[in-house]
Amino acid sequence: MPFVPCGLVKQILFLLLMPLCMQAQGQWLKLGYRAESLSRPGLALAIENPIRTSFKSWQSFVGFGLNYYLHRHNHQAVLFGPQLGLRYTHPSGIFGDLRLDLNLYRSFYAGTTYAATSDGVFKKIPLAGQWGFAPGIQLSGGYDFRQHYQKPYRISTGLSYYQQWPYSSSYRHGYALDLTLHYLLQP
Amino acid sequence: MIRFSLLLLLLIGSLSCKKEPAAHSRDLTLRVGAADMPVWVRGNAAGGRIVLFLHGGPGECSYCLRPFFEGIEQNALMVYWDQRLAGSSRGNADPEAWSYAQHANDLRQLVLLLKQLYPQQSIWLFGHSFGVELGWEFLSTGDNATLVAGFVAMNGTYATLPWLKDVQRWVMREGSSRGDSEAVAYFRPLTLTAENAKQVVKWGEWYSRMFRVGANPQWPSDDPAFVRQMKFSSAHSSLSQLTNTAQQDRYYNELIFKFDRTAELTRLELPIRLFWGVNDGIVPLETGLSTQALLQGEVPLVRFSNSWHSAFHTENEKFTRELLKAIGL
Repeated sequence: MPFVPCGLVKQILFLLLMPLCMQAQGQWLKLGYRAESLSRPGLALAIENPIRTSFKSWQSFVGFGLNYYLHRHNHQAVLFGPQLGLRYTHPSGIFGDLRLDLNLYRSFYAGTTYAATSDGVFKKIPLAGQWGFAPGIQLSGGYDFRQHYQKPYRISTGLSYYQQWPYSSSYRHGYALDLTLHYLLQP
Repeated sequence: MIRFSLLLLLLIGSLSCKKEPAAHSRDLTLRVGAADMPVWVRGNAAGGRIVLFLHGGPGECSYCLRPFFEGIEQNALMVYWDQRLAGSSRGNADPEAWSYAQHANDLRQLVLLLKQLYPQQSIWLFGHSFGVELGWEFLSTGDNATLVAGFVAMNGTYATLPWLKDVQRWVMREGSSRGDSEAVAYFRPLTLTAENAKQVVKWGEWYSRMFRVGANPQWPSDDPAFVRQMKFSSAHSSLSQLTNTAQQDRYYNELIFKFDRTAELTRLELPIRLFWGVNDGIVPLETGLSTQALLQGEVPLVRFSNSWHSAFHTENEKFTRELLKAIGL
């Protein structure tokens, strides 16, 4: 059994779950379409909390994201974890943000997985897939409807890049295009 | 606003879907040790034949080449398998443990699994380039040759040293006819032996000159059908495909120089067909002819006169016709 420092595990769990536990004021719910590698359908769900609750042109935020995509006949995967970002909103309502994601990755292979336990003897493995880390970055831009319409919505599109590792003893580059609708839960 | 967004999401989602034309379709993953290797079975089961595709590289992506096997799928079951550390295979296989024997065992397990899943089908191997090396390794190990109905080998070698010498002669001949004196001057003084090949052969320098004198001017990977297929079927982007291919270093730096199944070839007794793109400079026709000479009995060598390394791409109709004929359909 490899040595795993308990304190480190607790810190990682705290980091992962912290955004969910933060105060609700100024909290946004984000639901989006995630086009993994541009061509694979997916969904992106996130909770976002401003670090400062008063609205400013420059605003930093933390969040927790849950992303899913389907690569038909290959695998499906979820990416989930905390997010940390910085956003600039122009008085016109147009905004842009930069976000860092610290995701965990879990894939599920398409079809049935057969493990060869000995020569010619196979065992079906339920929910076979792969765990990994998928840290990434997202650059996005959109429009904040609060500025001129007093509506609690934002809409944005963003391009994210991540590295999944390990992947077959190496790593894999991943990217996705998101189209997201933001809804302000607690003004 | 919300309606518009939902409509847009649905529209994008529907564009992302791709229709599957095959009558039989099964996805599975084969786990051998730490390697999780995806396998796709596609095509027509009524023919009673499975064509198990051994892709090249090593490190290539089998399912990316699917557009070139549509004609086979209409008559037989095609099995596309991404070998360990290749294509979209996954798991944590160790690149340092790369070996021909391990690949051959992976193939054995896949054949045994297919025989359990498809007991009524006879299994033919179709190897291309490195897939031919894998095929010879597999067939000449233990009782493996009894597990399959036959082997169709396209533009691949049975032993590294004679192949390297064939390439050397081919480049000198083509270099002379094309007026590439530099390529000729580079290859002429090389004296290859089993002992010195590893030191003499610099892959980058060899391949750059081979391609310069026309070793393989048409690649399947340049074909839009391949690009579309890779885009939709591989877990990789083209960037990470390169990353994955780099995991074959042990093969290129060391093991390929020890590969020699010459003696074993002479003992094989199953039906074998050789398919060759006669203009190929990567694995020249001379390698095909010496393969033919080593094998027992009369082994047909089908020549593709307008092809180089991948006749399934450059002469697809003839390839389909000949492969179906070879497997008895």
